[in-house]
Amino acid sequence: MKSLFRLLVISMLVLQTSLAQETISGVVSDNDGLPLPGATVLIQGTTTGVTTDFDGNFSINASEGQILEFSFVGYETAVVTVGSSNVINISLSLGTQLEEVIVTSLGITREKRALGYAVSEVDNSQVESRATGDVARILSGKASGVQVTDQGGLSGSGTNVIIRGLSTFSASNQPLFVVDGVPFSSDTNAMGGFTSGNNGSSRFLDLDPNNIESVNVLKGLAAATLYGSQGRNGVILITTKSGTTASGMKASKNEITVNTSYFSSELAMKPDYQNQYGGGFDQSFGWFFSNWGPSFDREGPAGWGRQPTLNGTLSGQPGYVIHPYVNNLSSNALPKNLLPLIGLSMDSVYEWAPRDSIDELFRTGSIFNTNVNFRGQSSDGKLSYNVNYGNLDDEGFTPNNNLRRSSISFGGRMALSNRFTVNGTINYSQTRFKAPPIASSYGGTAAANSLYDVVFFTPRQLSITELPYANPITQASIYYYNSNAIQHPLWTLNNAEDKQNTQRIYGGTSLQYDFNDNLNIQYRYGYDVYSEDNVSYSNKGGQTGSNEDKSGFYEKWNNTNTIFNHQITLNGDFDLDELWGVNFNIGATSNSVEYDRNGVRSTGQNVYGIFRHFNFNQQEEIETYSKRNVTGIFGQASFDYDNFLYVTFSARQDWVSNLSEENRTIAYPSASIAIVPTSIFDFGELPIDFLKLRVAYGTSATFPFGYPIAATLALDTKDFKIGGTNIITNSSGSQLGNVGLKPELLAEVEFGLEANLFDNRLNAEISYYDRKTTDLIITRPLDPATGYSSTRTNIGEISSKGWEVDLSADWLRGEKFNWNTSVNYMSTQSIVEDLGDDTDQIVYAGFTNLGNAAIPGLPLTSIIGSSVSRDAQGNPIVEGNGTYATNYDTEYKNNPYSLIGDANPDFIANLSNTITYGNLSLSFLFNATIGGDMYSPFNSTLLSRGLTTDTAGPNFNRELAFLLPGVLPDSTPNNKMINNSTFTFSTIFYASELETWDASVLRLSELSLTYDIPQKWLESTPFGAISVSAQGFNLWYDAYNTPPGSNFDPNIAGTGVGNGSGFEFFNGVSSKRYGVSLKLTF
Amino acid sequence: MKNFRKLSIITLTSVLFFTSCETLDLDLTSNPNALGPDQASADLFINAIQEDFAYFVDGLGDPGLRLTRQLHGFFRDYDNAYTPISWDGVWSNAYQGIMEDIRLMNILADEAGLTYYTAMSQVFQAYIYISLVDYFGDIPYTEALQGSENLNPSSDGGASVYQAALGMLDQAIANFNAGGVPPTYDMYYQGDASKWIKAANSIKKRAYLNLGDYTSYSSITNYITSNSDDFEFQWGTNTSNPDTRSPIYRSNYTLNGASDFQSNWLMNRLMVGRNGVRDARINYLIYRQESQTPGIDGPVDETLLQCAVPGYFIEPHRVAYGIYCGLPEGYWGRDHGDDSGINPDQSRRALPGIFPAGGTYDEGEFVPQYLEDGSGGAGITPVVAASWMSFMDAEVAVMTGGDPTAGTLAGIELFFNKVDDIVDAPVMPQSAIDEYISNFAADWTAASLDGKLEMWAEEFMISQAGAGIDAYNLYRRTGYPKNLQPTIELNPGQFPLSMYYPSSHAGRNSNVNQKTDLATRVFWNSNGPAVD
Repeated sequence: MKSLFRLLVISMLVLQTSLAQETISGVVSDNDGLPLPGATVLIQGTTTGVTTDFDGNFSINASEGQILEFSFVGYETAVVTVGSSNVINISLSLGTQLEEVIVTSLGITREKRALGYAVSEVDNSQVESRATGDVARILSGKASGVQVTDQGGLSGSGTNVIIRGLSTFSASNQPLFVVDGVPFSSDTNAMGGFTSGNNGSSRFLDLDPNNIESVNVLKGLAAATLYGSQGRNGVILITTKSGTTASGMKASKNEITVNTSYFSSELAMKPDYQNQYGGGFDQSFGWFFSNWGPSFDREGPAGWGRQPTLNGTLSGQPGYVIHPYVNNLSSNALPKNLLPLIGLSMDSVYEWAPRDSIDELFRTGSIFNTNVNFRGQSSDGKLSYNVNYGNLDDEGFTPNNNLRRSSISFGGRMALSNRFTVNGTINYSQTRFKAPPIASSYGGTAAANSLYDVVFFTPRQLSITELPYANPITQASIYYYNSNAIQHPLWTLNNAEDKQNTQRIYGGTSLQYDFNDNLNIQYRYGYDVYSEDNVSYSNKGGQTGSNEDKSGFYEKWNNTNTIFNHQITLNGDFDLDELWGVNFNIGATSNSVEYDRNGVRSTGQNVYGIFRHFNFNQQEEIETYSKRNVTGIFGQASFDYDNFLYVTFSARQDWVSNLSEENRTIAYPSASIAIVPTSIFDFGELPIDFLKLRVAYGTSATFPFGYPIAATLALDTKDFKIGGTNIITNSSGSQLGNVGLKPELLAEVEFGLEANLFDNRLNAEISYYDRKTTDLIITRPLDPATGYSSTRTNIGEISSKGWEVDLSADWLRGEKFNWNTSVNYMSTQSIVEDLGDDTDQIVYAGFTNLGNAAIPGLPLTSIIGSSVSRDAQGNPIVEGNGTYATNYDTEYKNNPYSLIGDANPDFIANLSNTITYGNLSLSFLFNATIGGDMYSPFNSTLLSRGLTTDTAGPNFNRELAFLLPGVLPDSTPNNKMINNSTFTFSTIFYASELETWDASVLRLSELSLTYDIPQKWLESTPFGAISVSAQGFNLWYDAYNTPPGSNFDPNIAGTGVGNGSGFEFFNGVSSKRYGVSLKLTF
Repeated sequence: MKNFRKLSIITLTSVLFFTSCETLDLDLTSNPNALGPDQASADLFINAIQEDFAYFVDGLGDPGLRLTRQLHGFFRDYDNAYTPISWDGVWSNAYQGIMEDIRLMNILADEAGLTYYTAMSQVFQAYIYISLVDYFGDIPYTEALQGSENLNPSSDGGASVYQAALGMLDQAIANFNAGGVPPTYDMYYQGDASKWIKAANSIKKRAYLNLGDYTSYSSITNYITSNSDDFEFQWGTNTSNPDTRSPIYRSNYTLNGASDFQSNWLMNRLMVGRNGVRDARINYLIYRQESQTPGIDGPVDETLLQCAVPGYFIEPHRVAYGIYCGLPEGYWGRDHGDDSGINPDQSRRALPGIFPAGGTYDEGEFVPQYLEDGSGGAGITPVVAASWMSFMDAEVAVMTGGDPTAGTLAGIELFFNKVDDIVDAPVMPQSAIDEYISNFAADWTAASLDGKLEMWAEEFMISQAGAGIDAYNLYRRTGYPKNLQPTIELNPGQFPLSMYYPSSHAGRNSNVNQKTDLATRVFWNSNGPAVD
């Protein structure tokens, strides 16, 4: 803080030059000779000073004998007495005391060394020019402790962000986003649940990553105490370029930066299909879902020559079957007389040959991204501005998936002569997302429209793109399956869509008054308003979902979310004596979040293709409203002693509006200590440049959402109908209102070690934390015999422990050749310690019999599901038909085998390397997520239905007989031989346990090669800097414990954005992206 | 000082801004998304209660039908046929749905003197308590429905719950006799209190039969003896918003075909008929979408029915039973406990017919049936039927040393007439009914008591179409019919003598422990026969 003030003072005085005798000029560089732009040159004892330019050059008027003081953040200050020479070139050595300044909670800047807790920083070079417009996905792998999971590979799909693991299961675990000091909604308002499509973006998508100056991640509670309850899941503190107009700029300069990039997006998760066998069962042909049919060869025991359906007996043409649309006339929606309209006749046949239409269905998407940034500062440094415009057009590999975002932001700062400083930012963004619906599927037809459900297991002889998809008269879906129960993927693509069009305005204004250099008061007003227009529709004639869905539906609704935030703080910074210093912040804040959803769902379409409510028979309301206010007071005081000891105390008290008056408030303190032994002790010959030990204790609170203490009564105006009259009903609310509900308390102890070694070439930061959540606000399921199904209550305890390690090594630090390797590592585990005496198990995500369950003594990320029945010795029991007996009891207490996995990875490690040679720089980010289970119908279906190379050829001779390991009910070893489909289909599909795999994955997350055009080439051009880079994302991965033929990518949040993990339901195939980007500075 | 003034102005305005924005309002506790409990209406409650009661009867009855082979049981072993979680819906509908609504409604009804409403709710509540005891054994009664006062209600013994329910039925009768106004929508008896009283008495008789209290059983004389007095819920034909169709119709008459399989035992019983004459009810109870069954009497098609492919392995115990895999003439169902994968036969297999689901009458057209076909779902869910009472009279006659013939024949005739009363179906000639009864009577006379009981139980079972609670009770109480189809699995495990407690009950209530197996008999069945 002190150094910052000094810099600030200096920069304000830059142009008040004194009368000078001569002009001294030179270059300020570091140990390695690299120029230091922005270094301060001050004439000692005066207020005269300048800063160096981009190439480290300075010039200053000084007279002989005056002492010049050269300083730069992180380097040791050097002094030189002005002699006779007009040129002073100086190299500064890296400071043993890193004076790195870091933005902490509420925008308070502190020296990093003074912090008693962990903060990860990600700068703009790691964020800009990426292939995705989603800031959270970009952060993946770049900060330890942060776990990012894509909902799927659709452009604009939601993103799950969890910092330091789950600490609760009834409330959100998503971190708080703060943009330029103002809380920023990161909601994901999915269009329906994961079973009905779940499309919808996470609202941090409205941020243009190219407008980001820096991202700080506050991980622990001690770091985020001042943010109150909102900060309990960690804070992603984003400073935009618009919000940083004051610092980092060189005086009197206007700068234009243009960033533009083009990427291609492709389906990464394409399975390796086998082309030996086609659709059917038991090596006989049938128009099934499954692919256990005859061989595509004529000869052999499984050859098609032996099948009447294929050898010409029925179709009249050997090697051809009767066309499925002819074969299914009796049960298909297609009447016989319409065959000619789709180019078929009663004699139409279909060749028995493998086809591959996945590539034809999907496409290569393209991503254009352009960002223009203007920024500048008045010559006296008192006025600065930033304007940023960004445009993203992200066309996914899935047809009809598109994300368009335009954003513009303004930021400005003015230091008035009367000690007032005014700061303001205003941002506007428009985000348009559209995609085909993608509902969850178990490997059969989905419960709602889903483009992906039946695509990946299309029997090998079928081409999705060749088969007509609609009845030419009614436009209803038609497909190969008897009874027409499968909706044609092309029908889905052409008749159903989800759209989300979001307009958003956010920003803030702050006003600061400096009483003096040591004391100021600041008021900040922040606002964030978004309006999300959602449309979801499907034409009539679909074959998926409820009767209402099939009759055609049109849903249109708006979500308006408004956040107002006020905050007033008094900030002081004083030196008590030579050694002791203190700074403090005290303040008050109020936060209001209002969410209003309004719209109409219409069903029963009349005229095909028309989506207006008047064209539908029935209308229902879509309506939800909630508002919650939280006000708080807070204070923080930090004491520092001789650059050695830093002690910080902070506390906050909050009041929340949705609890009863007596339980409405909670106070929570934090304290942290940082000790820097290197400031005091001499480590002699040891290669220790900097050492810090820190310990912190932090607390926070969780407030419930919604209206948990209210007793409600349901009213249904259309519950039943008698003689054309709607019957209206009342029924008691299923949730028991609990006026005794209190806020939930979290407490965390964190230890850390930071060290710089070997001339600062090796940096290490290690943190360990132990968090306990008590008085959990849980939606406690009640025995309905009480009259209610649930209540929100405070019971139980969850503990989360984990390690975070960040290592960075500068192997080479040369004039031209530089090589840096950094590693970040995290492991976290959350255990349910207690759920109270009354509750054995709470399933909090997924389905009640296949989901994430909180069970005392087990990890919070446990997965329960149906399992193979076992005898007392644990041997699988094989039934009379040779397959396993299935145990559908998913209560862990009754059946321990119902615990079918734990989604939490053992650890996540990221390795990044940057190798620079002159102007060329190569970098890559490699990720290893080791351990963690995933229930995956994608894998189980491809195996069970016999599609991939894992089910044919050298890996699996499907024409043999098989024997499952296990015992018969009489305890004798199983001797029941079964065939291929019984071995797979009738086994894997019958127990979720067998559909669960270890989801460990190795991934080349990012690879880039950048070339900076040498400065000297640009001298005669208007450009200040040009760099070109080629980049690739997710170019390679290997989930090595999943079936190799599936090519499975476990980076999927199958239950959507939320607390669920370890599930995939055919709703999130991943993409890979590669392309080039160009950055120009004028 | 100038600065100070400016500062104070700014501070003041910001404080004003602060407060004017409603961000400081800390009393936002009532939920604007729903009504408050004080806005309730007894009329709207009784509507919900009546409809939910029909769902309760249907939901609890369906497993009873499947366990007793009246519908196909889609499970291999009994232990996993009905898991604790599978009962959560029924349990929650019973307590949180219906009985909590009844509790709240009765507060309003008491204030307004709506004795008829209270009486109806007492009938529903008694029926629910009795049925839950029949399925689960001990259940919460005295400590139930106390909300936050008791989050872990203890169970009462089944016998005491039965007694309480009998008491409720007496109160219900008294309340019906009090002459209160009926609600606008009396969905069961359209405001006829005398029929409600018969229903209440019939429920009492059912309970006394289970209890083996034949004296009390026989002492009740004012009960359901005519089909016009049947206690049943009438469904409608509205497909959506709201869906008012019979639950059986909903899942089987869809755009993409059926979801249930019909029972091979039941279809065989109807095909075989009596004395070589096919049972005329078959066209009402079953609809065939195909004229032949592949591999049985039609061409072999392993894409549709694998077990009928020659050479397909079928366990000897099923071969010995005689009926396996499928029946001819498109009576295409499934064997008890066949849980194999689904073939694309949704538009081909046999469907539930016009009775009681409101589907289609089988005239031998063999047309796949879809959404809105047939009677469009305007079926019934029976709660207590006159024919069942007659079959029960026969049982009591046997147990008291009397002759079951009259009751059995009356029951058959009542059920024939019931099936025949369906509006959209052709009228069955009385001669067909008479012929069936005389053929039945001929076999009956020749049969031993055991044979008679088998025949009696078969008829009682057939009359359970669309119901099921009484079928499950009948089977456990008497062990008849003894010749039901065995499961595909030779050793399917313990037949459920009572069900596992619902997961939402055993897993959320610290005073309840889950049963370790399915061998626990409910209190009135402690000396019941062996069943499988």
